[in-house]
Amino acid sequence: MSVLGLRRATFERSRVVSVVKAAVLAVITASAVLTPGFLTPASAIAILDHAALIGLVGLGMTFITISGNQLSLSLGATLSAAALVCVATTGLGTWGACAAAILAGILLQAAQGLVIGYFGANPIIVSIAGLGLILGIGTHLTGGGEVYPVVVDALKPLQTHIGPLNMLIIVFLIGVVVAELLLSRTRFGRQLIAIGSNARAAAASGLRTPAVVTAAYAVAGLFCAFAGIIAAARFRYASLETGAGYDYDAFGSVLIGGTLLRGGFGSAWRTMLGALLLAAVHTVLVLRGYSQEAQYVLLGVFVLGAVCLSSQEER
Amino acid sequence: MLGLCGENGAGKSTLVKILMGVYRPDSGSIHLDGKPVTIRSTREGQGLGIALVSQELSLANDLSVEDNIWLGSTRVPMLHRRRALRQRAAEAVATLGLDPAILDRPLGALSLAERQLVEIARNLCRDARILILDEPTATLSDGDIAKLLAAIRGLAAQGCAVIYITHRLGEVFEICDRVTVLRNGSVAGSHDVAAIDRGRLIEEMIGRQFDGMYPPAASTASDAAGPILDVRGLSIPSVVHDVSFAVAAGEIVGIAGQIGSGAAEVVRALAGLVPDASGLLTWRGRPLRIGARADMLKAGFAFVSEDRGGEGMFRNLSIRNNLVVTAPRALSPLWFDRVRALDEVAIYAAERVGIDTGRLRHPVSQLSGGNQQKVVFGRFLNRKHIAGDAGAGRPPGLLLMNEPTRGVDVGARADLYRLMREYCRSGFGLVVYSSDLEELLGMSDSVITMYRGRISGRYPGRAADITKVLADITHAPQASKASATSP
Repeated sequence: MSVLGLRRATFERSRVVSVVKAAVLAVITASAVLTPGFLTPASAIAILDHAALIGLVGLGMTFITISGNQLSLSLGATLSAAALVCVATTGLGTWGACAAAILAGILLQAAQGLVIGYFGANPIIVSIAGLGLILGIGTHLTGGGEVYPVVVDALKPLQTHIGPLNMLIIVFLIGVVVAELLLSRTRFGRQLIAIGSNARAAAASGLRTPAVVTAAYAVAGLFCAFAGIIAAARFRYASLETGAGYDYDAFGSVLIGGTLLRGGFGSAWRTMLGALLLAAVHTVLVLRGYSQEAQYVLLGVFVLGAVCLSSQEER
Repeated sequence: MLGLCGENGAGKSTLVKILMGVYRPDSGSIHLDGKPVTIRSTREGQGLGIALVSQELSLANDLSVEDNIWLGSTRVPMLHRRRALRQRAAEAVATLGLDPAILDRPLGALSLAERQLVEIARNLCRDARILILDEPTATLSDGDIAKLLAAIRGLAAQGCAVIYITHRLGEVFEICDRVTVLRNGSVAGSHDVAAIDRGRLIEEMIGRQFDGMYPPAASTASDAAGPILDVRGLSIPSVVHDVSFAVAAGEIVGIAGQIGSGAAEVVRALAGLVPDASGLLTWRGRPLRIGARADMLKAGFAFVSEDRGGEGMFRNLSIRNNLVVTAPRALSPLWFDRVRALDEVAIYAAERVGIDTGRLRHPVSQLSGGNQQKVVFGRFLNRKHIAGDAGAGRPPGLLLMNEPTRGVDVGARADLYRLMREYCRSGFGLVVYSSDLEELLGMSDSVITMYRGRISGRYPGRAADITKVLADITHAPQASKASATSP
C-alpha cells in the first residue's frame, strides 16, 4: 500500500536520529571504560554527586520546558538566593532555615511564572529580568560577598550520609521520583503537558493556563531551593556565585534527555539521564586531565547537537 | 475536470503527494501525454507542469501579490527582466478574473478567495498544465466560492486539466466532468458526473449503505421547558451588534453567515473567549456575566473551535489524555489522579464517539481529521458521564461549535451529526456556526442568519429554506425582512 511509502520518509529521519544517539552513547561509553579510574565506586559517586546538583536544577527546568516556556535563565540565581536565605536564617534552626529557603525559592520563581502566565510575557526575557533583580537586590543586601551561617550547627543534619550516598544524591533521587509522579500522575502534570502541547487549545477547552504555568514555575523554584539548601550546607557559606552557571548545565541536561524544547513532551527520567550523561562526560574529561575550557566547548557541542536532534524529532 | 472524492484516510493526499514528487510510488507508473514519467522532487513536478494548490496556502502575507507569484519559481531568470515578468503575472491574474492592479497590493490585504486565486495564478505563471486543487473552498464563504469556481471553469475551458479534491459533493456536481472515488487507498469507482447521483457517490465513498446524513430531531417535548439560555443584546465592538436569541434544552440553534458576518464571533463570545464582548446572558434563569470564563465553565459551556489543529487537539498527547484533559476534580484531585476512573471515562467517551478503545494509548496525531474531531467532541462527554454517575451531578450544559465538520469526510460527518443529536437528547443546548449552509440547515432545529454583525433573519422550527437563508446572509437586512418570520 502506498501508505508504506509515506511512513518511510518519516521513519528514515527518526532512524538517523537514533543512530546518531547510539553512536554518541557508544563513544562516551568506550572512552569512559578506557579511562583509568572511571570504573570505580569513587568515580560512580562523583558522577552521581555532580549529576545531582545539575539534575536538581534540571528537574525544575523540566517543568518550565514542558510548559512550553522553553527555559529560565534565573534558576541559578534562585539557587543562590535560596542558599543565602538558608544560611542567613540558621538562627531559626535546621528546619526553619530550610522552610525559609524553600519559601524564597518558590516565591522568586512563582513571581516570574505569574508575569509569564497572566501577562503572556516572553518567558526568557522575564527570566533575564528576574536574574537582574535577584542579582541586584542580592548584591545590595549581601554587599556582594560571602555570607556565613549564624549558627553553623544548624546545617549539620544536612551533611549526613546514608551509606555511600550523601544528602545531595538522596534529595536528587527522591526529587526525580516526585517530579515524575507530579508530571505523569497528577492533574497538574497532565494539564501542564497539555498546555505545553497546545496553549490555545488548552485555553479553548477551559484549562486555567495562567495558574498552571505559575505553579510550574513555583515547582521549578522549589527544586532550586533544594539545590540551594544542600549547597549551603556543603560549603558552609553562600554567595550570589553559589548557583552561577547552573542554568546552562541544567538546560543541557533537559535537552540531552530528550524533552522537547517546544513543550508538551518530556519527563523527569529523561532529565536524570541527561544529567548523568553530562556528569559522566565531565568525569571522563577530569580524569583525562582536560581543562575547564575543553569542558565548556564539549557541553556547547552537546547542547547544540541535542537541539538539532530534537528539532528533527519534532517534525 | 476530474473530481477526486473519498473519506479522510482514503488516500487522496497521498496520491497527490506522489504526483507532486513528495513520495515515490512503491509500484505502478505515472503517464503524462502517454509517456511514462518519474517524478522525484517537487521541482521536477513543476517542470512537468503539475501544480498543487493546497488547503494551507503557501504564500507570504507581507509580500506583494506579484512577488508572491514569482516566489520560488524556476521560471525566473537569475537577472529579473521586470517588464516581462510583470506582463506575464498580469495576464495570469486577468485570466482568473482579477484586476491586474492587484499585483502591487500586499497579499495580506486580500480576501481568502483572492488569495486562493493568487495561488492559482502563481501556478499558471509556472506553466502548469495540470492543476490539483485540494479543498480550495474549505475556508471560503458562499459568494467567494462562486467566484473561485467560475475562475476554475474558465481555466478548464482554456485547456488546463484540473483535479479537484473536495468534501463538498455539491461542487463536484457543479463543476466536474468526471469523478473518481478513492476508498482505503484504491479506486472504488470512476464515473461521468452526469451518470451518477449524490446518494450513489456517498455510498461508494463510505463503502456501505447510506441512510441519511442528518439524524431526526429529538421529540420537541423540551420546548415546553422554556429556554435554558437567553442571550440579550450581545455586542462586540465593530463586529457584532445587538444580537439576541434563546436556546432551549435539546435544541440545535444554527447561526448562518458569511465570513466576517460576526456569526463565528457570536459563538466564540458565548464561550467567553472574546474579551470585549458585552450583553446579558441568562443561563437556567440566572444571570451570567459574559466575560466570566470560570462561571461559564462551571455552568458547562464547552467550545469546539473551527481550528482543530490550533485550538482543538493536543498533538503530542495520547488519545486517552486528550479525552480526559478536562476531567473534573472528583476524578483528578489536587494530589494523585484516580487513574482507573480516568481510564473508564476515556473508554466510555471513546465508545460513545466511535474511536477504537484499543488505540487509546496512541498519539492522537495518528488519527485522521474526522477521528480527531470525534476526540474533541468526546472530551465534553466525560462531564456528562460524571454527572450521571454521581447522581447529583450538574445539569447538562451548552455546546458551542464553530465549523464542527471542517475537513471531515462524509462518513465521519454523519457520525458527528449523530453525536450532536445525542448531546441534545441528554438535554444539552447547542449553538453552531457553519459556513456550509447545507450542513447548517440539515442539522439545526432553528436557524438565525447574520449579515454584517446583525441578525437578518430567524427561522424557528426547521422553517429555514436555503434560498431565503442565502438571501439573508448576502443582502442587506431590508431586502430580506419580508421573508424573515419573527419568533
